[in-house]
Amino acid sequence: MAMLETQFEPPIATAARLDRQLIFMGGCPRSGMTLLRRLLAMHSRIHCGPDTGLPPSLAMQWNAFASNLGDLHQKDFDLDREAVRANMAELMTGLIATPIKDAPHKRLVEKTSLNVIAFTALAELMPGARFIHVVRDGRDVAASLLQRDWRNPQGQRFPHTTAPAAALKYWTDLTGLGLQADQKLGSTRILRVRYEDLVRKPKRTLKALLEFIDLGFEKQMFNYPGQPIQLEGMEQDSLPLLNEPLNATRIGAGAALTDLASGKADTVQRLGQCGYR
Amino acid sequence: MISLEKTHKSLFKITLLQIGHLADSFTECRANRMPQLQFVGAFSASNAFVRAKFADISRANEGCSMQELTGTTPIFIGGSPRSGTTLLRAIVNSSATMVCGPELRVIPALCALSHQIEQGSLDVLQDHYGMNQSALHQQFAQTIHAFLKPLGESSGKRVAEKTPANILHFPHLRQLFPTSPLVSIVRDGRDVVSSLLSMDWTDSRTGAPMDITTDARLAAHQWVQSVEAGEQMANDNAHYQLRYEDLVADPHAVIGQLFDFLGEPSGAVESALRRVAGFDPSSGANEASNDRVSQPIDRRAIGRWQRDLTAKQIDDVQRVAGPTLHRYGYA
Repeated sequence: MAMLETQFEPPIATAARLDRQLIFMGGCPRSGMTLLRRLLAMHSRIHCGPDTGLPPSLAMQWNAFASNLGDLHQKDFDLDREAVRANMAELMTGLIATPIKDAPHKRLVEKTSLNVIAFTALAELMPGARFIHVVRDGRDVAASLLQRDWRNPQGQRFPHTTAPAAALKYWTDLTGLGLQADQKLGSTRILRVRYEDLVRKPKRTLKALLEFIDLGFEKQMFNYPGQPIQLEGMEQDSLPLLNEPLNATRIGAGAALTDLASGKADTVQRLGQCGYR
Repeated sequence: MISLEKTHKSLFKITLLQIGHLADSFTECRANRMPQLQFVGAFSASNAFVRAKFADISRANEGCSMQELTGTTPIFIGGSPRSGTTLLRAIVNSSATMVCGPELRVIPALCALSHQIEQGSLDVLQDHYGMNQSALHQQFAQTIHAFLKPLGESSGKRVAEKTPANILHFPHLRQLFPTSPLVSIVRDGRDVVSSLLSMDWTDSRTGAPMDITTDARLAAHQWVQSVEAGEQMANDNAHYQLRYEDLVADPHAVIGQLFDFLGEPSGAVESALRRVAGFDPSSGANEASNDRVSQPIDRRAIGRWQRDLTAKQIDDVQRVAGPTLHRYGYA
């Protein structure tokens, strides 16, 4: 028997077993993902924690290994592409899937918003995982972004939180990546959820989402106001809204940006693709 | 309890009787991590009986893996690029019990990712995903093992991994692999800069020449970074540092000391040095020194900076690396 095997506990092949239970949520920040987390976390068979930031990092690292080192790994280390994928998938589940490890009936929804930039890579890395792409009217998203005081490590505010055109572009680009993933992955792997549908027709929207992940609707999902929840990082920006019952008051908050958005062809196109006029 | 510090090199000679005493003392060792590391790091990879015996002890001490007991954990080798790391890997690879492939190049990236998660996301993982620091380290250690495992299986040998940038992550690797030997090599920074400036390495993303191959100051800076990373391991008993200049001046003695540290059997040095002469220069297409390593070990590259570097480059190196060069007795 090879030495490594005798000296180190072999990793348990959890990724293949767990990835059907994993759902990655993503979308442009300020699209309602924390609200959706609030609702999903009330479900008895869903674990939905705050953003970890890990899935895009792991997916991109795996891509870098596979694309830059694939030949080397194959030739000198007996590591084919599938072995490298499996190793990184094991790492992913090892890091985030503990809450569902011994609960095959449960789902884990990971809601790092920037998962949206890595949906396609994540789908390849985790072949059984499913994806929820949350979209919201780009004008409303931009208006919300412009109220943020988000800064880079050097203390400077991000352009997409200070300039309306940059905020619209940010939404347009990220939503474009999400739509590409929608098209590539197909309806069995990715579900698009519109914020507006969630707050206007919550029961119907949640039922469709839960059906997508093989679960049934539970009434207590709407009983979230007042329930304790630990919000992390930028989630806390949404705190006042997260203790209110679902309402549509935020729809149209970015109407003032309509003229600016109308002058940008790609933004207009993206709004149209998502069903916004 | 036996004196752990004194046993570091002498545990090969342990008698079966003593193993029983060690079993008794093992519980005490577990209570204090560092003595445990010294304790286990000393065992010979080649002594199958000792390993087997300690497998029994391990089972009796549930929660400790074999790798914590036998000293057969992976070996990690690092150093500034152009410091002799490929020569070192060729020698290690020529031993009868160790295999050291070309640069795997995943360990620095995984260590950086692990460190980044530890710094930025551990609170969230701990509070919401059942992942504490120890579990995080274990997860990354398992991933690194999974990358190394096929080579270990196909060779049937203990795996050593040489990627120069490993050295920048030695402190973190120590957290992931508490008992692994970490081996670093240091070479005169001026020769390192001289060699770097002769490389035609390009950035894979941009295709442009890498700045450490065009700018003496940046080359010197990366040398200082590498050397300082090694210095952080000064008090680590499972870290072994050697000098390139000593290695090429007296390979037999230097490799003998290294192999002794790694627990290689006596006689391993002779055969390794014999075999390294047959190093295949076509192995490891990503290593720039393969042709050189396939030639007999000599001292020709020592002091090359005096021929290769301009006065301005020497001045630049001195400004950036002067104190470090002085500390190591190079200038």
